[in-house]
Amino acid sequence: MKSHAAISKTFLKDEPRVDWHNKAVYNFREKRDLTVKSIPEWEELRELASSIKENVLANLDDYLIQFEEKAIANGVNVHWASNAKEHNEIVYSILKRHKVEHLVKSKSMLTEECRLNEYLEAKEIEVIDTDLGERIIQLRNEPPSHLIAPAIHLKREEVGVLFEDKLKTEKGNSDPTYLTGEARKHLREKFLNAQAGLTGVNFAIADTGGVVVVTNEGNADLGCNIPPIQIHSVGIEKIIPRWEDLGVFTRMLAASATGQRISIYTSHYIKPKDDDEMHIVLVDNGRSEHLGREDFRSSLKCIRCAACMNTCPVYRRSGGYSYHSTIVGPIGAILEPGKDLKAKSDLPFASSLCGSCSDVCPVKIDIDKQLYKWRQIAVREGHVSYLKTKGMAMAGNILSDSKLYNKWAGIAKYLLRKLPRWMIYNPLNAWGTSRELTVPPEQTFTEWYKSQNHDSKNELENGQAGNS
Amino acid sequence: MGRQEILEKLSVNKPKAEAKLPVIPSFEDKTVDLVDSFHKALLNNNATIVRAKYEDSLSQIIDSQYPLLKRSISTVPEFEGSAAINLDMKPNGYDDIELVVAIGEVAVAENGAIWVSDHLMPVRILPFITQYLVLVVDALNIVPKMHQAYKKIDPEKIGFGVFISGPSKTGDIEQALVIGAHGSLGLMVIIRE
Repeated sequence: MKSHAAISKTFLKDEPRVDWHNKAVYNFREKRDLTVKSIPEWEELRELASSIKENVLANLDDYLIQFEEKAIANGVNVHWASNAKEHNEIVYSILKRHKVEHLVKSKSMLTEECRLNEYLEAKEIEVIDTDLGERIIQLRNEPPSHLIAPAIHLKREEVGVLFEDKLKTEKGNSDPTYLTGEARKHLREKFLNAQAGLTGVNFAIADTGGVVVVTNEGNADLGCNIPPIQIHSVGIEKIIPRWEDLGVFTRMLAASATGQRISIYTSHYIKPKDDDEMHIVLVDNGRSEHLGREDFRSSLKCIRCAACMNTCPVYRRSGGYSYHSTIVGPIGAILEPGKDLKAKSDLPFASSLCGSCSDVCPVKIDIDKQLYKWRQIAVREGHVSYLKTKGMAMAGNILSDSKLYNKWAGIAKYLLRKLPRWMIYNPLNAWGTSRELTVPPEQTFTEWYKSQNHDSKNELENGQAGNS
Repeated sequence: MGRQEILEKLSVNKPKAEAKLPVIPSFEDKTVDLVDSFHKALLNNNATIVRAKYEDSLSQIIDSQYPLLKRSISTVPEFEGSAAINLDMKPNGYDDIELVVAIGEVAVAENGAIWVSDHLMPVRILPFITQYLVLVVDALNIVPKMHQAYKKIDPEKIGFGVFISGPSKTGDIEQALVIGAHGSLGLMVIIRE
């Protein structure tokens, strides 16, 4: 598997496209800011959301039992899946029992995580992703590159060409309104003929046994309310304790994601319709294990709003695919190493540790702190290259010893000024591959300070090494 | 299958420090005009708004907005649709419905969200499958924020309910806003005050 840095390198080759991607993603962040600033109690809401989720993590087993009890009383079938395989088998067994050949699905990162589509398609069940962005990437055979805007990496012309091929739309027409209209017709047909609908879940409410599904397109509701079987796949951390807690989360989710005050459809599924069947599959798949990691468990508070990736300078300029994971961006970089540290040990390094992700997180996950902690574990467990480990250790020695630092600052200054270009800009110096290094001044700060007749020795050595 | 295993793991691994559930304040701002705020929020969500008096004729308002829509279903007593709800019909049988008129039971001033549930809407698919949707809201049922709305709704009494805050939309192609994704192509809200 290629590392984040290696995949980013390919992405970065097309500079105008990187700029376009950067701006497109940051647009979400700007819209978020406008809305958040208009809500005077925003910080209070963050605190509430965070403490509700802390309470959930501390009582997750009890809430799940309560949820199950209420849901069963509501006439819902509740299933438990320890892992992705069990989840897929449960969904398949429901579909098989009803001889379902056509399933419509609305957005669900959990089923991406479980690779449900592949599994069902191998059993000859047609799975149609119905969120427009999801349908686009499904037709392109690609995974999502963003949590809420799965096709954010694509330009309208690329969607136009795709639809020309797959939906027989007009040649050369890439107008988003036209393309969306055509997708509406194509998918309306799929909704009308579907025998079952499956959705992801934003919130599962312990005290009512119901689930909440949020969309702007209305696709989840067409998928649930037409076919006689509705299935909701839920990651167990999606539980919230009380009906009234929704007041907090519905005010924050869309605001954090797209800057909307609320999404267009916030649907509450509590009981099956008429004599139809409603199934809820509660999925663990590593979450209970993650809950045991004290330093990292708070990442389970995530409500998948994507604010952290919209603000992330690294995500915006490297794209979702550079994370080679289901969950991308900063939140992915702290969740994915818990699933497979060896394969994902590069992700915590895909960050400048600026902390912007933590600042915008509606449930106050300390994402940047966790990135830093994962780095330490990755190094300790030997998942970081020899060169980087040794280099960092050397830098650590120098930076923590002011005498050594001053000596090396002098040498580096001299070398950077005197060495020929080819000796500085070569493959051994990663810092020089995509940027010009600054030309050092003739004097270091210490030399300058001394020249000003201060008693530099005592003052400087009592302080930190400082900037030369 | 996994139930026992999952619950046992959670019980072992969950944080042991107590984490209390917070009391959620109402965040009410008495200076806000609820109807105005609701109106503005809906405009922002691309809905059409008509502010009417209780005695105004709903049919007149709806007919003048949607003169061309023929196949309609209404759950509002004062507006007669062209078709009646048929509880034996399969949900996909409603695909030719052009207009649904329904009661918005609770409405939220801050964001324009309107609660529609199977308490008053016996066929769940209707507000989604219709081409255009009209929701009739009594100004007295407008509350400031989501907190008050959830307080007003009793989840024990419903099987399904949805907050609708505008016509369906998407920005999935280059973030270009397109009104009319899978749900209704247009939403008109009649506020009666």
